[in-house]
Amino acid sequence: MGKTMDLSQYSLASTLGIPVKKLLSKLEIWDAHSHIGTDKDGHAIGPTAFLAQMKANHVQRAVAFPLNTPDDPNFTKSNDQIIQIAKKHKEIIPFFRLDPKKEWEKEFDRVLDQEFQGIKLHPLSQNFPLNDPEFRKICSRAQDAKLVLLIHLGFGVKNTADHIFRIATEFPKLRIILGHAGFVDVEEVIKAVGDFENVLFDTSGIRVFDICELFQHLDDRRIAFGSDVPYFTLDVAIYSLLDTALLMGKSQKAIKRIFHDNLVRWLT
Amino acid sequence: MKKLSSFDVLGLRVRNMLPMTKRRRERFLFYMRIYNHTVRASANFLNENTKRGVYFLQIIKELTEHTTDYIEEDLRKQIHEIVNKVLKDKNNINQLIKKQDFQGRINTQLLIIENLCVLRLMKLLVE
Repeated sequence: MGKTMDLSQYSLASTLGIPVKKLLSKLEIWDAHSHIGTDKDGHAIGPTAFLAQMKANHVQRAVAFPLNTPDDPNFTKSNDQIIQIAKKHKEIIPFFRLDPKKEWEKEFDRVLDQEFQGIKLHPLSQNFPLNDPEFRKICSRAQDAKLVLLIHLGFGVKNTADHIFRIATEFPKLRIILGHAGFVDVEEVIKAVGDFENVLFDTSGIRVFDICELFQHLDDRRIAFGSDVPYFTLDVAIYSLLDTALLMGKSQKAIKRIFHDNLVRWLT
Repeated sequence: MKKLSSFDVLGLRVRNMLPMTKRRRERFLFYMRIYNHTVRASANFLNENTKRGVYFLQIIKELTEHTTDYIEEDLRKQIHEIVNKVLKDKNNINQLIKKQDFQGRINTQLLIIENLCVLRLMKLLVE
């Protein structure tokens, strides 16, 4: 994408007389969902570019994990790259990726004593169903290791609500971030796990109308801002959430929770 | 008598219901059109009907090619760039769209356009 535009001029908040840039510069923002690296589909972003985007958009810290890297079936190289970046840049909260269909236990054990704070799983890219026994084993190990589990629940994943309910019930101490808030089945997912304390809905890559749905039916403590960089742009993600929050009458306290506090509670 | 397009009808309704200036109404309809075509493109890609998906994206590309409205220039450019990015692969979309994660990637790009339109529309309504 070319030169970054100043989205604040198009923001609803500015029309409501709210000094958007000032508000954003004061608001601490943590991003629950971003990628660094190269994907099989050609998308790519390096740490320098990502950190520059974070700085430009007043994002203090971001959960980051590898993309669906080509020629790295067990994510070994990509996980190493993420931890190296996180060691250099405190802004990055490192998560590692696994493929439940490969030798995931070997990779899990290898990275366990490193400083990863969570795991990212992608049922579509790694082609596994949510009732896969290996997936459940990963959930169990993540719970024991006190790692956060972020699972892609966006495009291409079906019948999510029942499976997530089972996982969140069976592993009550496992902290689960629902990537893209399960927007393909959002009403059912909210009904199933909306009041679970071990579940957070991340707002990455979702429609404004789905954000409304989350605000309408969920406690503010259950929602966390996410960007989905490099698939989504950080500024559009922030303004989509901020404008919708203002439109839905969310208080400054609630906005602070969503952009920052809820994720801080889970990660250090 | 020439039949009015659905957007012309919508324009008349908007004019009757909302006290907008002509310029604001034009902006409102501009983003409604883009939003509508984006949703249609997205639905067609989800159904693997790539020809129709590409068709609607090409309409958006044309709509966002130029504008005489300098206020909308930045947003128009961003939407145009996203559409161009998706259309760059247009010759391969037929094969690629069958891979579900690729389908998701395209629709995520279109979702950015949807959100930009909705945000702009909301602002136009309260301005």
